[in-house]
Amino acid sequence: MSGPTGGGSAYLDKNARKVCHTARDAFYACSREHGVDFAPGAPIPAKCLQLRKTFEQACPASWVKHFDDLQEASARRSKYLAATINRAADSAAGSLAGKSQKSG
Amino acid sequence: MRQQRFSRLQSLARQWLTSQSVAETCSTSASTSSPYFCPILAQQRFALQRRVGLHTSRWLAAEHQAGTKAASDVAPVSMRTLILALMAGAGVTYATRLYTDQKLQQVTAKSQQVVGQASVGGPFELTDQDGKPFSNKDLLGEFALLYFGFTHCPDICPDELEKVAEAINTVEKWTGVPVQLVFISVDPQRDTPALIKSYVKEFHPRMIGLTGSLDKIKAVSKSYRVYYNKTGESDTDYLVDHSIIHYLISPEGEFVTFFGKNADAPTIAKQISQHVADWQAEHPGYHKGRDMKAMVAAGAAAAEPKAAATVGK
Repeated sequence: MSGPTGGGSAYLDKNARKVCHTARDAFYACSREHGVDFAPGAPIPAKCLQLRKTFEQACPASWVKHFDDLQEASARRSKYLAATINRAADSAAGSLAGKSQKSG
Repeated sequence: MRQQRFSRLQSLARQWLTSQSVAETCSTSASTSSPYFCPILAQQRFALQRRVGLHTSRWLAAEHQAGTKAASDVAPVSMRTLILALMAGAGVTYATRLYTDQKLQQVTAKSQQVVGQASVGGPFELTDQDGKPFSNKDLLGEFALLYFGFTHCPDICPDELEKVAEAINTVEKWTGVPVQLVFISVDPQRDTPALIKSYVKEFHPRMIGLTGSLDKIKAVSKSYRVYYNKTGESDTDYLVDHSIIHYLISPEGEFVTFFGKNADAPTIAKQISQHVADWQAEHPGYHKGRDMKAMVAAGAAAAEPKAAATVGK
């Protein structure tokens, strides 16, 4: 659980930030692939355990928590959007079940 | 008095027009029942006309004429008067509408006048990345762009600072004006001058990084209406939640405008350039010899096809 010290006299310079962001993106992609929209406290799919460890090592703990929270928020937003779109698609014009595209 | 005279005339006319002789003479005359075709009646009408005037006599004659055809011919409201009245009404309506529109325009123009300046910003005394004192007076003489952040920021501050550095470079390319970039830390506890120095160097060689005591940072954030809040429990590893905003300050140290997270680099560059050009228009001594307006227009025009190309990609 120990990443680069997020406090004290060190901060992450451009390269270190890039390493952290890449590790973060790799982990979340893997997690999504295995059907888990990662949120703080969610179980980590077995295949992604190693990526999670890399992620936690590359980024300070406060950053990991911050990114996890963002993931949860963005996952919630996507779910809401998907639900809204599905609801509309069932009844929208042009769909197999919906109104015909011809007027009337 | 007038009414009495009129009724007397009415009775006289009645006498003349309904006398037996008239009825006898005119009943067999021309097929129309108009009094104008009967000579005796015409004579009497002429006499009446001389007394009461043309229109009244015609009206009196018609009133007592057998049949209603003539009456409608000389009714008080004829086609001519009706059309005249309608035209007058239309004219009055049009004039009124014109007047109200004008008034409305005046009122809205007045209400949209912006009076006074937003009271954002103010004097501050902080420490720059070399450990030397730096105050707002050191920014006078040229435009400045202020951003509040902290070096341990995970993603937003680096992105914003890169965006704004790109915008400033564009402005300098177009106008040659070196807009000052200022980064003010909202995390003075961790952000020492040395730390800030290496941080800002990565974004732009001219970027100024400022920090200071907790009180001084609190004061400058308050005057610029910047919200910031430490999150997390650790004493060394924490994040600072803060407003994401860039403030444009004029060469006289006054707030001009602000840019948020949604403004992209080309938009910021264009707007800053516009303010630079406007400033020169009001202060002829500013960058004398260089026509800002023309340079901004040229730069913006040159950027248009490039922007379109990248959008199409």
